[in-house]
Amino acid sequence: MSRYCKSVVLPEDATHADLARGYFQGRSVDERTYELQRRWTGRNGNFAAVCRWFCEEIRLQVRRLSSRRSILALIDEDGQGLESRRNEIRDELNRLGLPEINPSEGRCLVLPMRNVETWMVWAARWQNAGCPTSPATPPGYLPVDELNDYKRFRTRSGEIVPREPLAAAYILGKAIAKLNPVMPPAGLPPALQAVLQPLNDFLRWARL
Amino acid sequence: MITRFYADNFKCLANVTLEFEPYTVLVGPNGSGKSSVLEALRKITDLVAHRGATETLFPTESLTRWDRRSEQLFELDIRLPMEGQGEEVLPEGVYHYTLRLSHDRLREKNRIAEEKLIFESKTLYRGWLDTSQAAENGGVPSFRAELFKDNGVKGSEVLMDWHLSGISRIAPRTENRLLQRFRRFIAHVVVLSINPASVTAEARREESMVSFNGSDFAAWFLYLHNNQALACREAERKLRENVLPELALFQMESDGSMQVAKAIYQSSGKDDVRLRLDELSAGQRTLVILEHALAVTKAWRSSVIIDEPANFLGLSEIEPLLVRMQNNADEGQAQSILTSHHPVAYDLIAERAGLWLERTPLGPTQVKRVCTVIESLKDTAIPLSELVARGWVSRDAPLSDFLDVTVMAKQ
Repeated sequence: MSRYCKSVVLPEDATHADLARGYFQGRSVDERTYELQRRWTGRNGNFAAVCRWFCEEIRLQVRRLSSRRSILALIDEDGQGLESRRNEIRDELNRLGLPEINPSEGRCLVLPMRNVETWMVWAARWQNAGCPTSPATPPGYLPVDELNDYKRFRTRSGEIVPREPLAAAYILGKAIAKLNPVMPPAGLPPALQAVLQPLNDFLRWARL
Repeated sequence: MITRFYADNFKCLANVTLEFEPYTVLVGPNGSGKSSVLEALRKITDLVAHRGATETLFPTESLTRWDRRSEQLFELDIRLPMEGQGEEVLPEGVYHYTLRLSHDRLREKNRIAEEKLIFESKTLYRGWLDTSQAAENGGVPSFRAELFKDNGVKGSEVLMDWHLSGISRIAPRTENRLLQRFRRFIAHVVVLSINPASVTAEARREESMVSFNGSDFAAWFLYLHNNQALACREAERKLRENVLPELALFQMESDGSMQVAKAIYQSSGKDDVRLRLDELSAGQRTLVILEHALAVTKAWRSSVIIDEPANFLGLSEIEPLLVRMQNNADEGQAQSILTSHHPVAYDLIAERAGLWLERTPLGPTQVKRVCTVIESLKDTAIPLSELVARGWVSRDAPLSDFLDVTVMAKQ
């Protein structure tokens, strides 16, 4: 009998799905222990679709007779503000009388600031610099500006940002899996740093 | 990995090119030519790996029915990574393989008219039908082949059998290691269209490659058991973890002059249960073959090409299998090419790495990337599989249709 529970992954689009796949692969999680629920959000699914489905999965998770499942949602911040995004989901959960997001109980939310491409640019720069892991020494590459939109290569005010290569989302996921949440490397985007520990807690719960 | 495949005058494939990614899914309506692509790839690999001759692999019926020409042409581009160390190193590069077959429709015979292998613009092998001295031979041409060394220097010229691939016949030498590498890769490409009902448990001898429908899997397993033990253990572990929970061992047992593939189950306090491969369910048989194909292509770092892998599998088995194939491809361990009608394949893979195949009734197959076919449908929240099921995805559908769909979806 496997000690793992099934994790339901709710990615906003294919890139998020690749990131999740890479992360699970990096943490040696068997493919059978997670489900990429892309089909339920539709192609180019959006925040509302993922939010709705996240709540529905939580409702199923807390039902007394449900089998044990953990839920991981990946949604872009899209310039709305991290706290505002979290609050929207929190409000919806409260409205439905469902428990809060809590990775230690198998309910985790990954919110890249501004979109996942921010982290993909960081991963490309980090890899080019030789994947430095020291938390203290300067990173040796230009940290990403989380306010920029690296999907469209624009600043928040709309000015053009020079285009640069992005690491594949799968590779980014694997890189995230190897990062130490207690001592993350210098130069890590704050929003990415903020999800390392929750992801760790989420996996620990899923494996108990 | 196989990067490009061209076929002309083979079944419904007329002058068609497919470009493959490390992970590619071929999708499209029934009868659009997906399985023909896989069949052609299987036949080419069988020919080059010396598992068959042109007369059995490419019968006259394999010519395109509405085409009056009697020549078939196939091209295959394969990119292989750097291999070896020091002076033994083989560089990364693209092999370009060409096979031209000439058919005699009346006598239902065929032969190779030209076979060529080029590595990064350097010819490694060239065989052609030579008619220059046919008059002296009573009108019968000969099949000549020029051999080349790895450094491009021309070697000897020899006569070959026009029903067999010349590449498969050349003896391995230190100066033709590039050609050997190509041949090795081709021999390790696994192309399958599994029919579990035809799978037997008995094997009289080893087979270095499983048949197209998987019927002689036991013979292949015997070969793998003796030559790829680690891959067999890996497949066995996956089977135990997933579909055959009490499985202790999957092995061949002697039964007179035959070997029989058996799954041995052990559970505490009970006697061992031994089930022959053909006593497992159709889905379990399919999974046994798929797990071995995946494990061994990963060990060989080759390509696994499967027609409808989701057939016969339980719903909970399909996504992990497709995800694992995607992971293997992303890790650079094994290329995966598959055809599928399953919604998971559409929604999980096709938009990123899908090729849409379509044909008009009795017309040739046409290919386009799925992402370009659905370009105008980007705004819909309807999953791709649902759009396909509704018949809204078509290579040649007018743009206005797509726009109407978009409006409907938003409403």
